[in-house]
Amino acid sequence: MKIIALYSIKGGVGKTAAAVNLAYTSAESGNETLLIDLDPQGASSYYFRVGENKKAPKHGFFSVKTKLTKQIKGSNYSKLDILPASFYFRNFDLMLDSMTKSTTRLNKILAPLKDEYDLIILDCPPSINLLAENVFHTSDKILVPVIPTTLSERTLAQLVKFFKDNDYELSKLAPFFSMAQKSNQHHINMIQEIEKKYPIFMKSLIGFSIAIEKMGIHREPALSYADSRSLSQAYRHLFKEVMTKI
Amino acid sequence: MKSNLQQNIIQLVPEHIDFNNIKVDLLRYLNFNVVENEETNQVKTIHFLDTFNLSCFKQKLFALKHTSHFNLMSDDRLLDYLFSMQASADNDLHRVETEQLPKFWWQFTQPKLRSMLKKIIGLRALTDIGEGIFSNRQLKIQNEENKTIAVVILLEARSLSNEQNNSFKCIKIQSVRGYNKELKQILKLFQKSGSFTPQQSIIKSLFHSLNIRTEIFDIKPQINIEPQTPVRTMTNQLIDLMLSKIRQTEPGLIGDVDTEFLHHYRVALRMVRAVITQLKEVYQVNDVVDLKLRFGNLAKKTNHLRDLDVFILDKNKYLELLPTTLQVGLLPLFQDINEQRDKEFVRVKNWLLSDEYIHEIDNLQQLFSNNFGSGETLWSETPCLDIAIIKINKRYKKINRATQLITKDTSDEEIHELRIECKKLRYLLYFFASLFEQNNFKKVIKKLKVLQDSLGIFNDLSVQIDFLQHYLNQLIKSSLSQKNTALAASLGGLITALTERQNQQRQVCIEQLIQFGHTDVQLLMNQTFISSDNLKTESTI
Repeated sequence: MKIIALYSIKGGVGKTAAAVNLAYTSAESGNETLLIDLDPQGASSYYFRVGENKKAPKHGFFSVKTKLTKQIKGSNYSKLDILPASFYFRNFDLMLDSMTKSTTRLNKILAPLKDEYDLIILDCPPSINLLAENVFHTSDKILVPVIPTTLSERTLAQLVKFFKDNDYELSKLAPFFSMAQKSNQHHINMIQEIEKKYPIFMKSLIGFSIAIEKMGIHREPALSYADSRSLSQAYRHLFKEVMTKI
Repeated sequence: MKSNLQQNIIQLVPEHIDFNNIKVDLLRYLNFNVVENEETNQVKTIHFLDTFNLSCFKQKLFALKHTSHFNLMSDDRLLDYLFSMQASADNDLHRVETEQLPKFWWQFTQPKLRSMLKKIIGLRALTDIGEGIFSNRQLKIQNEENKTIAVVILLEARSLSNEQNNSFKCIKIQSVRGYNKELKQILKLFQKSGSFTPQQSIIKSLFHSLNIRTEIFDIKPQINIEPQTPVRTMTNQLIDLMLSKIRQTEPGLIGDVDTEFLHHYRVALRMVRAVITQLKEVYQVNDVVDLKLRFGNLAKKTNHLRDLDVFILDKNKYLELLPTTLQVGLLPLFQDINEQRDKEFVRVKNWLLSDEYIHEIDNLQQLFSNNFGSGETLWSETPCLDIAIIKINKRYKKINRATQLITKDTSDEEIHELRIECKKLRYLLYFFASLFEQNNFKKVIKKLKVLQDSLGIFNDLSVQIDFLQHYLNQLIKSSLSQKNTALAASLGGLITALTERQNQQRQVCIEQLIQFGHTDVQLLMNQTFISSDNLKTESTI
């Protein structure tokens, strides 16, 4: 079992769109896949029409006694399951703070799922906190969507610094350009500039797409309904690239 | 691992239930939407194939043909296939595409399939045992969020030739992980409509609806008799049963479906003759003379055809015994035997279709279905168990005495005589099988079978050598052309090879006969047929 996370300190960069469509691509490629929606907003769950877990687990999410399997729901697609978000996820940091070994808890609770799934995808909320540190520990690769803009670059720099300061493996970070627009000269320039600065950047690039914007209407992964060949190719390419690196 | 967490519930649905009403009920009572993609609904005509004695069905295997595809699959896979209508690596044991479906294992080309079928069907032919028109519909059950919470597949099958037009209806509810509460609600709704889990296997229910037989034909006599049953009642029952088996083999024999029909026809006839000869004291003397003659006449008619069949079936075995250079020489022999067989078959077929035969066999059947035999005879009223013990022990003692005298110098004739004695004992055991404790009884049968198989091979070799020697003599008598010289050389080679094999087999038979005379077999026989503890009910002797 491998674990990849979609993570960014910044919101609105295409984390959830990537998590949902990569999960879809993974299952379509024959992998038993679980998408865990760690974001209390529950956007991933919403896209898969899976309602939130209304009841908090008896022992709390991060307790070893918690049976996560009970909260998993099948999606409308073969080989793809969802662990939906819950509003009580907003208290993750409080929960973790009260626990010992608070940065490796996630690793422990995901361990029992290793025989069941080939790939787990974590859709993370946009913040640097204890939950994020758990994600950094647990994931084999952390995919960071970066819009080719100055602000996005800044948050990537912050993340890289955090990794260095806290001795996390920098090689786990896999940033990729997201929502990039071919017709936008500023985007083109930024891409060239950022790529020079960060050789860890993935080769795959996800362009801006109306189909992705419409995911909220369809409530399905864009790849399941979009005619856009370039979009599906882009996600498949990204998926393949990630898989070769883990 | 993951699939274990998902449930598939399969239930039968009463015929009168309309699947469309269930769709309405799901919305009305549970507020679930039902999405049906009619484009994915399928209709297929599937033919089921098996041998006359349902060799595949017995092993929980199913051979099916759909258009030009042949599949062999296990019973649980068959259900998957019918629900999905798609052969996959999961549900397909073997699949071949074929325009003209082969009947025998050796006619299939795929090596794995050949060897599997060889084990399952042996010399039997696969024939169409029934067919059905299958249709399936897939319903996605969705909650108010339009999230699929379960998938229901409706399967309906109808027979093409069923006059009553029975139909088979079945549902498969596939759960979606995390929606167990909804699954229970859906299941409850179906059960309220009458769906249920059947006691017997779903495939059996399907076959029943499609009028496909599931009773397995077995040539062995299986009658249940009580220890106190008068012997004559038992013999009449047994002969009546064997006559019905003879009648069942006739269509396949006439249709020349496979060689086992004739074989079983003859086995049944032999069994009847064995009853009359070995238990002759239950009938009047003049009746025994008459029956022996009549059944003997029936048996004689098919002797030659069976000899030819056996010879042809052994063709490859014969060829393998010869060096390659001599193999070609034998081909005219097989051509000749095949031609003889074709002629002989037509003769037997015409005889079976003749008024003379039909009248005779009808007559015999009528005699034994109406409790044949007049007046009391020596054993007519004696309880079965008494006679069983006397006859079995007497026959065994005779064999046992003879086996004590076996040496490496024992003549072939003596071995043949012992073979016949063992055969008689085996028949007696079949007749009275239901009277004895089965554990020990089966051990006796097993020991006897090993011995008989060996003796059978020895005898077959003698018959084959005689047959070939006779053929060679005839050939020499007629003018030997150049072509015939090659045949004569091959025949000479074959007779030599077979004689060598017969000598080896003789040694095997002698060793096994000596073993059969050992004290452990004696003990087993005593335990099974003398000690009252091993009888189902205590002997009256």
